[in-house]
Amino acid sequence: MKKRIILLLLILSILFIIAFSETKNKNNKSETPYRIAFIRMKEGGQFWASMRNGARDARTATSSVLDFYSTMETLDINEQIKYINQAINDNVDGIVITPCDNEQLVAPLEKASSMGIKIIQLYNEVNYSDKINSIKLMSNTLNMGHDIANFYVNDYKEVVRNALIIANTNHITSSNYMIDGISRVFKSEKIKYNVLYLTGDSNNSQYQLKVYLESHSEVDSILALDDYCSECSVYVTPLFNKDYYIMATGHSLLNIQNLDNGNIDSILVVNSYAMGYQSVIGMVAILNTQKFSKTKLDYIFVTRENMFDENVQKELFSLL
Amino acid sequence: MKEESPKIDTIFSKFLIVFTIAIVFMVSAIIVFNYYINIKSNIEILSKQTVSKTSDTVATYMEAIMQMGNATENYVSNPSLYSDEEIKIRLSSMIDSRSDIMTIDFFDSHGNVIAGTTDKNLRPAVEICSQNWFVRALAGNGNSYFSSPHVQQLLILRYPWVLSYSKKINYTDNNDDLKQGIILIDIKYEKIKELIESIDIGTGGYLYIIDNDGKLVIHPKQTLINANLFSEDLSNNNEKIYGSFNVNYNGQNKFVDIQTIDWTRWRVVGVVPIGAMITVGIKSFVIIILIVLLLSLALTIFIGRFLSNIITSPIRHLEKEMEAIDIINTTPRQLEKGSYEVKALSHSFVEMSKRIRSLMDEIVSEQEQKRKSELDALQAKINPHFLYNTLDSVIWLADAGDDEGVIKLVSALAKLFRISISKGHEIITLEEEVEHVRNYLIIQQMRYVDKFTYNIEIPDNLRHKPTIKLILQPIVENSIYHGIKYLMDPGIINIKVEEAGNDIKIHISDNGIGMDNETRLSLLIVDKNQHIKDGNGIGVYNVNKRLQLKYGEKYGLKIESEIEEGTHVIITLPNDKDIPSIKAKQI
Repeated sequence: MKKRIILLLLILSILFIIAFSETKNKNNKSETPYRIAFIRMKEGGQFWASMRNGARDARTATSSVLDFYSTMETLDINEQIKYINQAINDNVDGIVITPCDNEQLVAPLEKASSMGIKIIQLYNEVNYSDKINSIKLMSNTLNMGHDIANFYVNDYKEVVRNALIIANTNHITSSNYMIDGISRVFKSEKIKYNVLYLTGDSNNSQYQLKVYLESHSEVDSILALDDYCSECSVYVTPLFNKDYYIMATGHSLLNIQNLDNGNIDSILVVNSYAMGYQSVIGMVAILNTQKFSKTKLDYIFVTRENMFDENVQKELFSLL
Repeated sequence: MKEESPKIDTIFSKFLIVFTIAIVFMVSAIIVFNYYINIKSNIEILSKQTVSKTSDTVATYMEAIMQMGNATENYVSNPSLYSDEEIKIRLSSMIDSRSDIMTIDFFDSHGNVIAGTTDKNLRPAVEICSQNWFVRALAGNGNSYFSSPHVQQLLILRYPWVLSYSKKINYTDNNDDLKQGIILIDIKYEKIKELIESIDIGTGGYLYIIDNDGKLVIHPKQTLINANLFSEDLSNNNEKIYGSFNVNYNGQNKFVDIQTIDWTRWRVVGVVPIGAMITVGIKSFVIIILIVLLLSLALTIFIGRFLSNIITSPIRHLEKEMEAIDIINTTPRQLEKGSYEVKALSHSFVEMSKRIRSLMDEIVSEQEQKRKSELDALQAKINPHFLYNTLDSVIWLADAGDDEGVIKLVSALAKLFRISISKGHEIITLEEEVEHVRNYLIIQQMRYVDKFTYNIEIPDNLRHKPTIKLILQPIVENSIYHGIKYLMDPGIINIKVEEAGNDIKIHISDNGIGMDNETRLSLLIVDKNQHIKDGNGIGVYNVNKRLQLKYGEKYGLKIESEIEEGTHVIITLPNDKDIPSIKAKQI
């Protein structure tokens, strides 16, 4: 009889503990909510702002704490390294990062991983290291590169086409994968193309593009793979008395207005809001040791003709 | 004796614990069920009230917008009353008075602005008149039209999110020609979205607005929906159209209430994840119930032990008394403590003990009496024959003038009877028993002159050993009458007493004619009537039975015999402590 009573008390105690632990886990409203460092490549720009908004909404949904970090310049590697170390010192539970360099950020992320910090590499990724225990989210942009090239082929119907692909640096994997995807299609379609990596500040980049276009008069179309490169294109191409086909990236007001007035022919709008949202939801799931389903990159191609379509305007003007 | 601590394994404790658990569970189940019903009902009522209130608020808001449209119509429909500048001032003042209105404009049927707050950087008329709000209003018959949120395309390079109110009106132009125009009032989407989002419909609940076609107009999770990170169950809304219903969408149980907004044919939809809300409530409640259950159990065990101790203590005391009491030798005491029932039980036990003891005494007495009667009957059976024959021998000796013989015979007879009587004692010494049989042999030897001789051996250390009396005489009698009597030559009877371990063995042997095996076995058979019928062997049977009754089955007679060789009877007795002889007792 005594054994039975002890067993009964034990069962009730376990039920009691389970009931409490379940409540705590599902709501994630413990006294110490998860703290996540959210490190973006850049502060400015619609792409990064939209990503931040997505992360913020996910923070509300998960009751987690986000430390937002972003560099003023796209390629400020040292600043990103500083942010990672800051996150380590702050003893965060997880780091969501869009690495601005695939080589130099390996060591800091290895260090973070060795400290038991969960890592999600968002959109970009660093070179493989078995010391980094991370999840890569929406970082494979190869298919997006395919789609960019195919859209270009269908939308720019000139017989002879000579494209210039503009990217920021060859150390950003999202651009590299996109270029790889575009190249494959272009090669199969026998479209001439070249890749230009813009470096330095905005003035330098514009100058670099201007010099290139001056010396390569055969170029008739520009594919800018990020909002920074798109901005350069918008500023530089009017200097030439030539009707370039321009495909910009990002739904910045500048890009939209240039699309509206015909300076840009098409815009690739990547749903960076979904990136920010999914990455934080995913990080909380990982910290709760739950599974989460990765979503694919969401993007649309916008032209002047469809920019006010009901479904398109929801994505194109989402930040306005 | 140390008092045993009260056990939890008592009927009362078991009953108390089981009863408590059952009651707590039952009450908990009822309360949880009622709580579930109440919380569900309350959530549904509150949700309906909130949706209804929101519907009224939005309707009021829309009515206000329509009144603004009517006022605008009043201004623009009759240019003779108001100049363009006056119209612009009045419309601007309406916008200034409200932060939610972006523009109020009036267009002709070709998309050219006639009056309003927007007059610079307008898009070409052809673009304006192709827009949905314009097309729908123009196609209508003067009804008000509210658009879904959209990016307004009035101004070049400006892309505000608005809800558009548009209405076709008739107006008279400067040439007094009656024409059709469109009034446009753009409402800032952000403002109306804030209005909807500010309404609290409970944890996890939200409100949204759908248009007549079931398409989303305003939704608090519009960004997530745009990013395909959230989906709304719009198909159910179109099926149900109006009212309340429960629905399971994406594995989540939701309570949905739909109410139509006046003037617009839009509908407000309130969604409450009732399952999750109830689960949270029930979970909290179950935690409380579990705490109550644990405390109740602890309290029950404590009370159970305490009360059990009070109630069962007298019973346990009685139990110990019952275990310890020797009913045969002592009388149990009546319990003075305890409840009435326990005292009654104690009284019954005492009475029962007395009755058992009385019955046992009666049985012992009866058995003793019965045994004595049997012995008396036996002795009574022996004595008359023997006495007759002996007295006959005395007469015979007297006739022969053998005085010495008479003296010897009468003397032996006297000793024989004296030992037989033994002052009523059942147990005598072996010496006395041997003396008894010796006297018997003397008497029989005088009756059967020269017929037999005898020899008796008894060690000194066994002389005072106890035995039941008259065990040798019947055997010797049997030897004489059935063994030696028929011999041609003188017979010999040997009696020898010896110690055999913890027992004493008495050997009575003769050289008589012996007996066959059947006769030998029949001497000790149980059927007493058979002996009586045959007229022999009853003495031997009685001796054996008396010995076994007194000392147990292990003791008694053993008979060995062989035809023409003789018979050997062995009596086995326990080797008990010495006792004084009857004679010594007399002294």
